[in-house]
Amino acid sequence: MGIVVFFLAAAAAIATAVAVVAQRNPFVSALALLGNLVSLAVLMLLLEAQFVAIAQIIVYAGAVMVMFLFVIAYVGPRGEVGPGERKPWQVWLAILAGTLIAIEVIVVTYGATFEDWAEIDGNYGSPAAIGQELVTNYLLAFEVVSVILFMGAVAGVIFGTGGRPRRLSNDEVLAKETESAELRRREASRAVLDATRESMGEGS
Amino acid sequence: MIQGPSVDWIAIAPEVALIVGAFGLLLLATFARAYERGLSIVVGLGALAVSVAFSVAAWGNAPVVTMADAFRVDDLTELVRITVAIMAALVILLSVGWARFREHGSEFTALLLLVCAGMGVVAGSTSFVTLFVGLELFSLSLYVLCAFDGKSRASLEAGFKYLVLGTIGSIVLVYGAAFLYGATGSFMYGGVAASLAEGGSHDSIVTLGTALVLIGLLFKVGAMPFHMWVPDVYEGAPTQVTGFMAGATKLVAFVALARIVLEALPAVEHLWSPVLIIAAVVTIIGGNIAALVQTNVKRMIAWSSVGAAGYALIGIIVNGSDGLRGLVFYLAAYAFTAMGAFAVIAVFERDQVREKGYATLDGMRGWGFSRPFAAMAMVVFLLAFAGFPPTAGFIGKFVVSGTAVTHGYAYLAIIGAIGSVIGLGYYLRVILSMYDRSRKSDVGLPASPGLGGATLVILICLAVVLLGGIVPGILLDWSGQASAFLAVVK
Repeated sequence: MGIVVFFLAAAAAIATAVAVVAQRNPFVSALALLGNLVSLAVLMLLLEAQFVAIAQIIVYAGAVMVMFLFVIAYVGPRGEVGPGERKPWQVWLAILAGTLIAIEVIVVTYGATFEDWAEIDGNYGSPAAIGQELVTNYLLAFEVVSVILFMGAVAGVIFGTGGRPRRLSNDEVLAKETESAELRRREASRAVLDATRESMGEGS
Repeated sequence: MIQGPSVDWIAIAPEVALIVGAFGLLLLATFARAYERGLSIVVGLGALAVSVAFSVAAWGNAPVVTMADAFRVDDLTELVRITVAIMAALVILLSVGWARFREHGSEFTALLLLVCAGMGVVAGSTSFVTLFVGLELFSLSLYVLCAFDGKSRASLEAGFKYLVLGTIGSIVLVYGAAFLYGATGSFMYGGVAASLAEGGSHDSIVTLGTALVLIGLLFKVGAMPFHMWVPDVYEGAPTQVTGFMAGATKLVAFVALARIVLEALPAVEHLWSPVLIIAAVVTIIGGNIAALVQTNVKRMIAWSSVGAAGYALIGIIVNGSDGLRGLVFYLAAYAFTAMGAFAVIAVFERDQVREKGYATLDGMRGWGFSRPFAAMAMVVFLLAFAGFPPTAGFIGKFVVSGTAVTHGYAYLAIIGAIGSVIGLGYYLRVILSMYDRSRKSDVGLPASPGLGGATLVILICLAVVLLGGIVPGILLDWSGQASAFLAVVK
């Protein structure tokens, strides 16, 4: 049973991964990525990594994908790659390089002999076990990652806001008000002028 | 109740000071917008000074391993912390007159402090997990600093390229670490080394893991053939950030590389040694030849820094105590040389700001007569790059090449010498261009705002480069003391 699920999920993972890069429509790509993440979560469940599987679905399939779709919807069709921008030799080179790496990984893992399997107990990969690891053995990494997240927020503010809104001085406020008053006055006089022209046109 | 690991607060105080400084600065700047620039300078330099003070106080102490064995504080960690913090302080001094610093000074300084904290974590890492999170902390912050000049397309492009290519490097490194974990069952350098020394049945997996880890790290140090990000990023980034990258990032990446190959992978030296030798040869020759045809001085020095990575690799390949001492000395000296050279370019760019001039060979023609001090300093820095006495660059190359010869790698020393000769070709072009009499102008340039900071930076770098060349004894002793902690000595 496990092996059937594995091959189903693995096939789905590969197919959706190909779809992510092959699709021209960014929406379809994003949805394919969603499928990819879910099939990976199934693979992780098979590896007894319940926590990682659920975290993958909640964080990536949930939060991150929603943000992706949001950005795609916001940017719209401008983000699409035109047909002229892809160079054929790049595609072939990428396929060649990818195939070579795949062959390398297959050769290496196929040639390796796994004699001493690691023994794991039933608690392995549970949220409790992972939580405990995070605050004991990996405390430093855990803390540093929190600083990284903070840094990401700072970066977002820098690029997101552009220039910081500046508080205007009294003189500047006054200048702006005069300017808009002037604009209103001109508009009103133009309207009067137009009305006069119209009435004159009717008269002739 | 879960028992947390013991934390030696004194040992991690330098990083804590930097992170607290970064957070505190952002908080303070929110409430005192009007004083943002002054606050950034004071708090930034203050946090760096506290960090350096803690490191200096702990210099020479016995190594401390803390936080569940994830972090190791020895003299090598301290040396990296101190050098990086000084580099960051120089960056702040160089940024004083920068328009962008006036708008976003607190964010710039906070990110710079976080970069230093991340570099400290990398320098003291004892496991692949610590290495990776430290690497990401400083890399991600650096991506932002590269793109910080939001109005310049080149800066944004540099940040984006660095982000994409740097992330690929990180991914490859993690992929390799995962294979090594699969083969040895440990993320700790010590655990990996012990398991490999016993000899496992997973030879091909060890090979793949080692190869991927090496690729990831060669990417970070900017060695050929994984150098493609260096010229574009160095050219587009704000010049003071470029100086920081050329100096501090290179030092930290090499310390990480040295720690991994010497502490985690000594048992598979037959795997990584030939790779590093080929990379060193290709990097020295290729980097210097590519620099020969550049007309943009920033880009030229970027290529020459690719070549410099090759010399540093020799120190790791030789792998004796002498080789490592040479490596540490060469990189520390290089950091100050590069920072000084980019400080001069920053001065030039500020002079040209109206004409939007770039530091091209043509643009610099005759500039040496208008700014005699900066141009003279540039001559010293370029000679230090090329390895001329009496500069620290000469001692660095001398020690590295000398140990290569005594340890049976004479051909590497010869290749290094060839690279230096090629290097002289383009360094001299810059000097000739700066002192081109046909474009001499008698009008001295007026002092522009913020140049005081740049002058101070150039003076400090000049002092270190010259003192390191004339009385290298102390600096060599320090480097030797620090590199002694790079475990294996042949």
